[in-house]
Amino acid sequence: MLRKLISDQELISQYLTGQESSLQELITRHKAKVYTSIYLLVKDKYLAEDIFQDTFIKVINTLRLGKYNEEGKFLPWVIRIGHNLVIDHFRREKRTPMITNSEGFDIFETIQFVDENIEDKLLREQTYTDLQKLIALLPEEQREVLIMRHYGDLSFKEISEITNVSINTALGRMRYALNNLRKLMNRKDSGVKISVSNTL
Amino acid sequence: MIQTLTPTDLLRQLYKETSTDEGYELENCLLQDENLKKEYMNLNQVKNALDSIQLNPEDSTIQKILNYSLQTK
Repeated sequence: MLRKLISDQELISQYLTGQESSLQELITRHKAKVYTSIYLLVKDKYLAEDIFQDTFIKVINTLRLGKYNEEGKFLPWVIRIGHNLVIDHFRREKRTPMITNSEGFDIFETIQFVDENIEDKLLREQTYTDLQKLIALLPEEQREVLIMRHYGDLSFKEISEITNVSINTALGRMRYALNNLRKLMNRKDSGVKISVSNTL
Repeated sequence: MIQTLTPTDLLRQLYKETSTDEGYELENCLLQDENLKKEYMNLNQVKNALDSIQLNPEDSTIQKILNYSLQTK
């Protein structure tokens, strides 16, 4: 319980003095957001696992070199590292991410839940799958902003700097992303065809 | 102070990037403008749905990271 009151900054300091458990706490605290943001970008479980691992290895190396100076902003820093590794991967691959057939693996084996009956579990899993597929349908720049803001906790200002656009453009893309998702969610329920908007 | 309320101000409010004063101003506007209120609720609905997605890496991946830290100490 006391662990939850300790800031990320304090955990980093403890880790650098040799407390490995503090690293574990940091990872446990932020693993869902980091992994989810990577996964939604690459849409491949195994690749997401690799990039997640590489992200935290880079975190460890940077901390040990004394090059971490993001006081109070640990999660956004980690998200940026992960995001950059995703970009590096696709540059090497020279392709954009395609949707992986979810029948090939069970993405929900990694989701933790407690005290859920079978019907709720199936409904929740279907909702997760559907929403992830809808996110994959968004134009890339909208998906990118959405993932960085919603799962990465980066501010719109930080996102604008990373993506080299104005803050208003970043906000506009987010607005389009949320509105397009809403249309897609409604379309899915009603069976009506609606086009996704990708212009500002 | 928000001179003219825009939909992007709603987004900033949704993601808690407005100042306290801006927040109060927005809340007042939402009370008075049904269209604005509807848009805010629509955005909030999707945001809540996004909150439902929470994936986690395998325990084995985390263990590899922790092993790396120990082995390279």
